[in-house]
Amino acid sequence: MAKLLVAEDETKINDLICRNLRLVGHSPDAVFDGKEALDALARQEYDLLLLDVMLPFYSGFEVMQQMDGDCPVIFVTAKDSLSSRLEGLGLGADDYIMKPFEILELLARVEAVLRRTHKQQKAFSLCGVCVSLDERRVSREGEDILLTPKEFELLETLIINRNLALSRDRLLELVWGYEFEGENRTVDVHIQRLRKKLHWEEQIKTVYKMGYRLSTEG
Amino acid sequence: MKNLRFWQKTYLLTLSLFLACLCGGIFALSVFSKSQSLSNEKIKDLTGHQMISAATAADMEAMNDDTDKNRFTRLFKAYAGSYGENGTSFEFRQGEDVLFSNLPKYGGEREELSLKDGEYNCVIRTVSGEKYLYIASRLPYGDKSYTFTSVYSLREHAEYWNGLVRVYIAACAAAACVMAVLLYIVLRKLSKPLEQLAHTAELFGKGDLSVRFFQKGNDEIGDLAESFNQMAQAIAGQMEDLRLAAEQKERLADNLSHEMRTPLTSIQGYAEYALLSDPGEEERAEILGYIMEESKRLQLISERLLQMAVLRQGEIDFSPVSLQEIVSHVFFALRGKADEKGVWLVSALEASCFVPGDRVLLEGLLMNLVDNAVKACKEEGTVECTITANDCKTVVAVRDTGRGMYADELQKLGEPFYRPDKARSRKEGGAGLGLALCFQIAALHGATLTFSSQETVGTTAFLTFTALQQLDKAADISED
Repeated sequence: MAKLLVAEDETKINDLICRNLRLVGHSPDAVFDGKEALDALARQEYDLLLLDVMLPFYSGFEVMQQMDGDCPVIFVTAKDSLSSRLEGLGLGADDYIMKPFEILELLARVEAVLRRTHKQQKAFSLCGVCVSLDERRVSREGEDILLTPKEFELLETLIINRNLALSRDRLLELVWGYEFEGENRTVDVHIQRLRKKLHWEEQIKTVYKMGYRLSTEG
Repeated sequence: MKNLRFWQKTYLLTLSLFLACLCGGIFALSVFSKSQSLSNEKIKDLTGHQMISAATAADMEAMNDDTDKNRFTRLFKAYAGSYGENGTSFEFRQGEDVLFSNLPKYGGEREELSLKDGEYNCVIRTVSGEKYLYIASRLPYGDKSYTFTSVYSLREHAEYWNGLVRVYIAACAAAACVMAVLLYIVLRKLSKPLEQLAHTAELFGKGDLSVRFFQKGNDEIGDLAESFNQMAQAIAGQMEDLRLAAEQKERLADNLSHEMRTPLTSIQGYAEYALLSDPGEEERAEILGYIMEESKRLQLISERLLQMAVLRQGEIDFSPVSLQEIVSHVFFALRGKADEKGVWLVSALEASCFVPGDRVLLEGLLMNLVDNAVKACKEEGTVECTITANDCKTVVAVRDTGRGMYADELQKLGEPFYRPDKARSRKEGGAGLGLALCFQIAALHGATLTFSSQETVGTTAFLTFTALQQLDKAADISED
């Protein structure tokens, strides 16, 4: 459960980002201009700041220059000129994402930054199954469940992107890597095994024409 | 000549012209003075000749004896002895007989000897490399059968003359040298500003637009410098205008990309969210509503852009339009919105006021202005619309009691996608193109749209139609 601050003046986009972050288990706060962002940062400590560049009162760059502490920053902006990208990264931003963005890409970048700063989620439990992400151990009621490395990585990917449907292609890409020339069947086989080993037949849902989703509700 | 610089050409031409004049003048002068001095010499020698001739004749008369020729010969010899210095020699003849002669040897024809009475002959003759002046005349004695010839050497005269020529040549050479040096200095000094100007122009050409050429004076170079500076000023100004236009275009592109991307991001993001997550009934409806809303915003932007593109090349039909009617229409249309916000709409209109224009476009313009004014106001605010007309202009003013704007905000007003208050204007669903459109409509009508604003007090928009413009348009209409 990472604490994130989303500074974005477009209410709808702000809301969209927050919804997605909440979905995968983060707790985001929303602010709508540079002043509010600085106030919130002064009030509370955040694990990550998602910052729009074109904010009222203070631009994203100004917010970054004026804020205290070393909260990691990802710029989210429609400005894609090289100079503004360089300016953002030159100020010490951790990453840069351009509108329009894909949700999964945004989440992947958030996860990557959290991992780098060791703020990522370390444990996850659902229906009696405890997953220790940093120790790479899975147990059910105190009993270890043995998973192959690929099975664990698949489980980890599902947990990070929980409540979101992941296509087979996406899963192949995320777990096996771009180079892997496997078939979608490989994913199906591994999913079947996970369901069986964890007794998550209900939790890992098959989404019609899409892929799979790890659902934490009901 | 082709490869020479201008000053070098001038130098060479001026110098050669000067030398030609100088040499020609001195030559003419010397020719004249030579003939003058020769004739002086002649007069002097002639005087001497006449004197001797008279004296000899007088002596011969005194002797009064023409039998003894030898006595005359002695007399002649005596005269030759006493006057014969300085290379002067004499000859006395009686008829063809030479009684006495100490002339330099000469074998040629002696044409001076063919004399008539009372006259004398002068001949200049070169004998063995030297010039002599031969003067012959009859002696004024008896039957004038005696001929007296005196020969004067012109050596001294020639020597004097040669010396004079040398002096002339030396003076000429000296004058030429002085002229050459002075001319060089003067021309360099004159051509220096031209070279500096060329250098300045070169710098300017290489892109340093701030260089100017400073040259005082009212001569051609001063004029040229002034013209150059004016040109440089104009070019720098135009470059600055171009730069500003380019900047504005860049800002437009930036803003357009931002404006398009924002709704696109929402649409794409929410669609993806709906697809990937498992939203409940309620959330799904909410999300689809967002998507619709943002699609409408995109549509609005594209419509406005299209409108602007059409207006940019559009011709409009001018017909007299009543401003009061338009204002009341606009107020009627916006009354509901204003009431909802608790904003008063007030109008102060003069009885009748017509301007030539397109009714629909002008209504759109005023709708935009009043709408903006309403949006800017808080509760209990007032939007007041006044129309004032006099002989030279008609002004429609829309005044609000909103938050006002800063000076730099005012300046950017009317640029596509510029919003003084981003958060508010988006919430109200604007495309950020309204005022840009207004400016375009105003320009089409030859009217000017200006704003004045004071922070926290409010903003006033002035739409000014000038009488001149109205007359023009009225004339157009009557012609039609």
